[in-house]
Amino acid sequence: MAHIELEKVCKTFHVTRKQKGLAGAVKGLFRPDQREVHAVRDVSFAIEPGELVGFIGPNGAGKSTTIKMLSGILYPTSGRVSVVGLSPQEKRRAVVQRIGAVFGQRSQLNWDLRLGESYELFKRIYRIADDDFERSLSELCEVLGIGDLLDTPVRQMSLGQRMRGELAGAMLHEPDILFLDEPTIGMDIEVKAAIRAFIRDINQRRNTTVLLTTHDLDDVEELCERLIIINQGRIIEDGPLAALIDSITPHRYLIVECDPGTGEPLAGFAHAHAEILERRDSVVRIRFARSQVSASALISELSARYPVRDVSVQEPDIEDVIRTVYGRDVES
Amino acid sequence: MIADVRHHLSVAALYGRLSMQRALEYPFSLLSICLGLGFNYVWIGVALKVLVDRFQPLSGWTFSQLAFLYGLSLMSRGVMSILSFQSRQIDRFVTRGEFDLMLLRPLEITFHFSCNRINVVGLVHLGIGTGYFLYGARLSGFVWTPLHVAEVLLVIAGGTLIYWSYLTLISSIAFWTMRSQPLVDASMELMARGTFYPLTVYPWHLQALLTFVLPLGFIGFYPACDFLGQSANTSLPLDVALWTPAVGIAMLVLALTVFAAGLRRYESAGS
Repeated sequence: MAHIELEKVCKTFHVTRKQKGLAGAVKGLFRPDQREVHAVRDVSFAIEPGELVGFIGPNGAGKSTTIKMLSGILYPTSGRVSVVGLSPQEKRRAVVQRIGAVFGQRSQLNWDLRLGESYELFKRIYRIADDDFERSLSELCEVLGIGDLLDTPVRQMSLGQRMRGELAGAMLHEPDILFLDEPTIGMDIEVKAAIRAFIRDINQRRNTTVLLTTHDLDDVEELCERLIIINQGRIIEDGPLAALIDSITPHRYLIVECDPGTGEPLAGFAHAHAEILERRDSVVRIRFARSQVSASALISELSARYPVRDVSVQEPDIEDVIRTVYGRDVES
Repeated sequence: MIADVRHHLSVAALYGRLSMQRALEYPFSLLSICLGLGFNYVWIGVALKVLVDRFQPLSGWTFSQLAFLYGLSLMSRGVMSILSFQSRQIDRFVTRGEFDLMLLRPLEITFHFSCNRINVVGLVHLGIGTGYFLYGARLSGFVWTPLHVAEVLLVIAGGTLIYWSYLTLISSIAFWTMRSQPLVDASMELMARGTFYPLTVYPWHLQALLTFVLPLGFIGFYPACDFLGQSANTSLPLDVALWTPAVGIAMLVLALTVFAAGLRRYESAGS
């Protein structure tokens, strides 16, 4: 059974468009300009237990709305939502007992109290047995390095410390599913690395299903096998990251450095699935079709024919790939 | 079911402890609010005593009887104030999407919403209300029988429900209009004034309003009439100690229904 399932889910908001100035505000009192905004349109996907899925899209694409429907916060306008086999709207309490969530912009920790006191509260709310609580907390403290922070008031913690505290709080009751909405937003490189290591760890060791929303494509690249891309409320891509990259940019690049003073580098090079893009001194940039010829085959061929000193393979930039996907969707 | 109720109560108890701790993090702020409130309530009492003693009893009510009535209302208001800090601010929760985190917890949402923040300052209302009530009871001939004590407790419980439900109903308007704070503030004023004086000082249509439409009369006035043998103009069948909780439960059902309907319209906030 899939852990998360959405079937033709739509969510429409009614928003009042505000008009400019005092006259606009007065006019709006009598004739409000009400419009429908389709935040999510016919969204369908399923996520199996233990998957770690990146859920990305530009601002306002419908990511948070989708996660809020999955967590029982919002009611879908139409369609079916199922989490651990239950409707989060009809069985909210049963569903949320089995999910954890971190909304990067909204803290669930008690600002004025010690970090440990927020965890005591979660222990009571989720009915965690004493032994389970001690074990879970000590594991999380070790992985996230927050053992020394338990007695620190949350308001005195740095952003990175707080986010690690949030993650531990969301995982204390050992949920089957973890929703992460921008968990690395505003973090420095070190904290980002710690958070990514934590996400990988709970996914592999506890088999927790993770749905990760982020704008940081390094998160996606490092963590997610599968990627779901949403734009303007619609799912526009769903599949392995590698397949998506291949479909958008079927080419890779080979940077070949030849021995200087041996004439024109790679003179007379011709290949059915590769072409020279540019020559600069003794360095040549070659583009090749990855599905037709492997990088190693091409390197062997070049090394056999030319005085090659050094070779490197250039992967496509994931940001370019995602930008292309967003752009393609807007054009269509 | 019983385990579920016990679980909710234990969470509420922990929230209570944490709210106390949180309030004690800012002792100066807490002390100023308590002193300000205390001074305000004592001043109201002194002014009323001077008025009644120098001129005449208010619609047949002496100062000690008025203190009894005021204390009875204030005790319900105190308990309500301890539990309703959030209910007064539904519009903030709606416009800022602050129900999100509460909906993520496996607790009954209305209960969680109410107990999530215990208002320590409510203890001041409760303490001063108890003081007025004991003073009034001693001087106005209230008889302390076990039945009367049980009735007073029932009236306080019912009064608390009426206050809480009324505030929640008004505040829930925010689910439809986004803003309800001005109406909530006006209602708090109305509740303070509507439960302070005997209803008989008002014209008959205001008495009817405060009995049948906004049943604030059941919080203090009708029970006080019953306990002190004062005339109420409106005669009610059965004991008023039963009417107050009954009205409270009816209002609670209405408030919970409206709150639940409103919550279905909740749209969170952009992230």
